[in-house]
Amino acid sequence: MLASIQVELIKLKRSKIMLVMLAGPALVALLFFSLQASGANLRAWPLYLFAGLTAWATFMLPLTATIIATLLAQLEHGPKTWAHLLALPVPKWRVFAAKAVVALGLIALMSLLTGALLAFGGWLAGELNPANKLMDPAPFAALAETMMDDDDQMFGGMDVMLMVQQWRLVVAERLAFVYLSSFLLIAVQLWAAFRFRNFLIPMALGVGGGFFAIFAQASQYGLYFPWLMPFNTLGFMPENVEKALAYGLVGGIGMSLLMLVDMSRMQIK
Amino acid sequence: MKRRLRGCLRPVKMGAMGIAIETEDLRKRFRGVNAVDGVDLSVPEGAIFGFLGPNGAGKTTTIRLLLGLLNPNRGRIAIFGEDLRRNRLRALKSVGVAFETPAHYEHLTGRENLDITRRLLKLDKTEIDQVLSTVELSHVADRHVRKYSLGMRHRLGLARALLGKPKLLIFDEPTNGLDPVGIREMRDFIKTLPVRTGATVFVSSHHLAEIEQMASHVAVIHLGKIVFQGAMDELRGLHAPRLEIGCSDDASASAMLGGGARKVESRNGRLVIELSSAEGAKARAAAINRKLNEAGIDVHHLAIAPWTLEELFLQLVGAKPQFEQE
Ligand SMILES: Nc1ncnc2c1ncn2[C@@H]1O[C@H](COP(=O)(O)OP(=O)(O)O)[C@@H](O)[C@H]1O
Ligand SMILES: [Mg+2]
Repeated sequence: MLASIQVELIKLKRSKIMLVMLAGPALVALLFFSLQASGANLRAWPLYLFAGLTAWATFMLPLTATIIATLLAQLEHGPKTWAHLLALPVPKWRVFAAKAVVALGLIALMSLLTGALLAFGGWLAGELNPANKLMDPAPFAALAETMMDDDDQMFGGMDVMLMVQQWRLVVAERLAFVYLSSFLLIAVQLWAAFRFRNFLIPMALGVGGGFFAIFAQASQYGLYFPWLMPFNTLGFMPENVEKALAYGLVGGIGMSLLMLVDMSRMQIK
Repeated sequence: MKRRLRGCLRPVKMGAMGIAIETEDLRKRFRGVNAVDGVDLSVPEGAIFGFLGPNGAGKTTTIRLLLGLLNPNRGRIAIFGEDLRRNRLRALKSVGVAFETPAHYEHLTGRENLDITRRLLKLDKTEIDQVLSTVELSHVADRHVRKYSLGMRHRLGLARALLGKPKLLIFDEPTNGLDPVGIREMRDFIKTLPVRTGATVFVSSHHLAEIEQMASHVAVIHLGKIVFQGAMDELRGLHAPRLEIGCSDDASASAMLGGGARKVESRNGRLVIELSSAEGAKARAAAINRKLNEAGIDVHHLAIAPWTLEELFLQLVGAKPQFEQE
């Protein structure tokens, strides 16, 4: 398995995937840096980072996952190397599993990069103009608590005190949730990308999925919509966080296994 | 355990010693059409086995079945006695393959392409340089495949097939798209392989002459069915060659050479004589030339004409096959 994964990494040399991997997180960070630097001041670090996370979870993660899955599959569809790869004395599922592992690895790296670049952008905006400096709310936790009624403890679904006191932890946790709950949509994208030689099909699926996610938010079934699961783990509706995480993660693992079984049986014409 | 027991109980085990590929009633249907229709192949170990048939005959489909890339609708395949369905990985361990259109990662170098297969086969790094020099690609090994000519791509495909020193090499139309020089080089190279590597070679082609020049054994496939299988000499024996003569006086020549059982026809302004056998064809040609000259007839064309694939098919299946344009 290790050899299969190494081989996939060799194929990424000089490919566009590394560019996508950098561009996705950089664009999210750049957007929020521009907002902050241009005076649309989000004031506190947790607000700033959560806004960035939302953009990542709803838009940039699904989009880049679509592109990465498609590129990984097109590496073989393009030059028609599936036949050679699958005629080697290596279990067929391994070929596809290695690509899935690489996709998950790249998206994990992108998640970390998004967090790091967002933080860097926020810091830079403050350095460029002290008026736009983001503040750390933790020292004011005690003050905030005395000013709040019990009713205020939950603001827009968020536990305000937790966000004020331990915002670093919360942001890191949610970044991880977003990632883990995206397994289902990644598995679906990989499957489509492997199955269809025409790259427009997985691309249309990814773009369509992301588009419908906007409407699915309002639906009671939105909880089951793979492209909405990362967003749902952010906690704007706290009762949905664990469900979205479970559906995305467990569903993703299940879907990946189905994908491996199906792809191993596929006939290569 | 169970598998071993079943193997012992079977009275005749498929793939006896000395058989590289054995298929039994192999069938593959595409949308109601039998692309491969009851193929029984028996490829002896050490042979260069030519798999001959016009475009669309079912050669590529058969090869994809042999590699487990397609699932047959019926039939069995054994490679060196290993049943492909039960033991695909073990069967494929002894196989190296080069497909019809050489497919490589264009953005990687030749060496990187080979390294991918080498790692998957868990071979030593030194094998790469060995196969590169075997196919004479060492000098361009570090160039991107994007910049390779078609001939170089074919040779890189061969190099990849040679990795791991497989006991069976399968080449699907290895001269596809090459120029005459490339075709000859490829043919000469393939001819050296059994001696050089000890491998059995299974090579498909739609050129009779090509197979004739490199194969020791041949199977002819037509519309998914095997219409001939045997040693190359047997195939040669099926049809004696003909002699084509262009001369100054067809009528006298015809009268002189004809007679007895020998048929002399006039075709396209040339006389065509069916020889009785391939043996001694050259001596017969020389004798006829001498005879005509002595009779004062000038000979300006004399050729031992090879049979075309069309004519061979006409004889084997009693019908003219539909040949695609190349
Ligand atoms: N993927 C496919 N779907 C439908 N028909 C196919 C497919 N592949 C091959 N065929 C048909 O099967 C027959 C044999 O094709 P093929 O094995 O490619 O022949 P060859 O390699 O001898 O030229 C042809 O009639 C071809 O049209
Ligand atoms: Mg073919």
